[in-house]
Amino acid sequence: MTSEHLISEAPVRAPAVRVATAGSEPGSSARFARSPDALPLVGLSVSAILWAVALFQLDTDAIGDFGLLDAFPTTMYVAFGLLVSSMILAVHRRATDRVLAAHVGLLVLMLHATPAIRYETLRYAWSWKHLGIVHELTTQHWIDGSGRDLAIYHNWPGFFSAAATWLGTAVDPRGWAGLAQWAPPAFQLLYALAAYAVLQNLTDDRRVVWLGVWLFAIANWIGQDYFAPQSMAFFLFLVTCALALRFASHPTTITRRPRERNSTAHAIGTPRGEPATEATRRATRLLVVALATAIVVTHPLTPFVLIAALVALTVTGVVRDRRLALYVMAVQVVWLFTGARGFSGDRGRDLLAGFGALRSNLDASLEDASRADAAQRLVSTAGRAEVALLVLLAAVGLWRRTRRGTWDVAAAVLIATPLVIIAANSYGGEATFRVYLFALPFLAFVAATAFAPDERAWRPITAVVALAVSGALLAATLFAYYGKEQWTHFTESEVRAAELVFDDAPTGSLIIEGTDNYPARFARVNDLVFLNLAAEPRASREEVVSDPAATIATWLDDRRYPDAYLIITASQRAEARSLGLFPAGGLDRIERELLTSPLVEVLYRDDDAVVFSRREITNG
Amino acid sequence: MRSLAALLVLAAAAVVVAIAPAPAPVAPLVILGFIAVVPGALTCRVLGLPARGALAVAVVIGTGFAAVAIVSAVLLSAQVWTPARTVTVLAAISFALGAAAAGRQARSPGGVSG
Repeated sequence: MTSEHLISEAPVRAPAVRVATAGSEPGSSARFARSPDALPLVGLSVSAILWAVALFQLDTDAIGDFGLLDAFPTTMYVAFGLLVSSMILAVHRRATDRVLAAHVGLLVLMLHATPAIRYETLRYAWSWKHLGIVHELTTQHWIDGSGRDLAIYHNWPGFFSAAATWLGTAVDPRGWAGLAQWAPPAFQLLYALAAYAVLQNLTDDRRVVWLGVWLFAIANWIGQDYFAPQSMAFFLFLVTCALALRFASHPTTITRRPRERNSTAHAIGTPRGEPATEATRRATRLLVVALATAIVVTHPLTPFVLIAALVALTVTGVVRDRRLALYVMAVQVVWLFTGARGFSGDRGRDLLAGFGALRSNLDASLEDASRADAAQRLVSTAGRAEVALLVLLAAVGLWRRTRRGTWDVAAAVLIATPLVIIAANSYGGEATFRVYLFALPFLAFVAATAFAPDERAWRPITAVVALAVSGALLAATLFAYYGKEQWTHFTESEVRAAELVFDDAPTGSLIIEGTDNYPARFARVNDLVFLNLAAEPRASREEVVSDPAATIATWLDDRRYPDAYLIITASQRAEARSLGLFPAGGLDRIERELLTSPLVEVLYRDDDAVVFSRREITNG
Repeated sequence: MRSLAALLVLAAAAVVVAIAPAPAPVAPLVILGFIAVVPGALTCRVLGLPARGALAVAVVIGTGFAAVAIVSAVLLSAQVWTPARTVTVLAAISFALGAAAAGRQARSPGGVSG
């Protein structure tokens, strides 16, 4: 079934010109060799083979201070280099859409499927926590939102109830982690698809569209693609933007000449396609409301960005259907006062307090790298440098296009509107990352226009510049995306240690953790008490490190809790060491001293994890 | 008409594997395939959305994800959520959409809708 068959029974017309198949006519091989697809296909195939070889060679035990970069064999870097060269060649030679799409697809798989293929188990502590919510949902058919930590999931359950419908119906819980591991490549492929659908509306220059999608796929390093509500909401956001730009806007308003701002008669660089009929506009309205409703019940932040985007697109005259923004706002208001009223009431005041505190929201979002080790400072710098390079390219692109008389109104609006996030809240220190995520497809598009603002401006030297820039961005992404794998990936023994604690701990038990970065289950967050050593006040942390055995033994022996445990894992150690969360070697020292202490009992121990519990004193 | 029938067969298969346990590799694929394709494709077909190519695929998958999120959140709010019930409700909606799509097709000139 093709995409046409999916939504229409209309027969797809046979092409008027018969297409020769390979080998059907003399000289067809020679013709293929001269076709724009030939060399890129060779590059693509060799890259894929090299990646497959690299997957075999990759040794995850070699993950070091630079994360997965320390473990990558040379063949992996050669594969990346060849793929980048092949893609730029494909763009330069105007290869077919299928070949260009295959390059983007392979890049996404190389970047995001490599961990899924080679890691023992699910990476990212948050993925495990989200699986815990799904587990609670499938066992209790309800999310208990009474605890502060779970309230947000209770009030925005869309992703969890959708995931639980899939996983709970079809798979034994022991297999969930194996499926959730594939969320990053799956979501990234969906993002690339939706980004292409959006960017097609912004220009009819195929080179710019594909370069935009390519830069988007390269520069999406912030890791908002795992098993999480944000991942689903971001995909739905992109689809909504694509629909609004395609069917609720007049093509000439998306990109326009300054002197013809109010004209619908002519525009340069506008997409092909007829203006939508009234029936299509109605259908679009309905679909946008459906997508927006799903976003609204799934994720607290994304609806605000979507509303800001639709309002801004309407105010600037890009979106002609003014009711779209109003309907989405109405859905959001209804949900805040019904489904999410518990959270809105309790936490609304906190959220409002952060509104407008631009400086503090921004400061809270910028990672403090001063305590991190040298490797992590470089990783952090690589991410920031990549953002800076992309913004610079986008500025050059906008300037070059404007000089040629083309204003990318829609793209500029969609780059600017995510800034409402910083104006509204620090979002737990992640505001700048989310701004970058939502702006990225449009930043990438405008950055792509920097190379050649229109089709006539493309030269061989343009391809060389595009190759150099793509290579630099990809190198930065490899550091920024893979540079934290020493603590974002887990081993099976860490999972076993965590399961030992969470399966056996009586209700009300105290769980002391080195950091909260381990494959924990969130399902029991409401009936256990957690103490994160890394989040303790500085004096408390120093007290623990100076005399670990006595301090921890006292805490474990607190009889207010029916039982008490301390869990330290390899990923916690790596995070603490890399980010300087404890005085030098602090967490290792705590573990070492407790292992020789008669005051605590060792419940579980191997190279990757150790679990201590209180020592019960028995008489006789 | 064949693709409409294929979509409805997939919807029926999803209900079967949701209610009666199926082998591990089959069940998640059938359910995911149903969610990602059927509700979105039928909705777009009934609405007559003239989307093609990447946009059509993105809208179909997005609408399917939206449908499962909305239906399951509503059932959850009503405290009657179960995975099998959600799949059954989605399949019922799909059959209703399928009937509407067939009617639309029959009414259109030459029996083929656009």
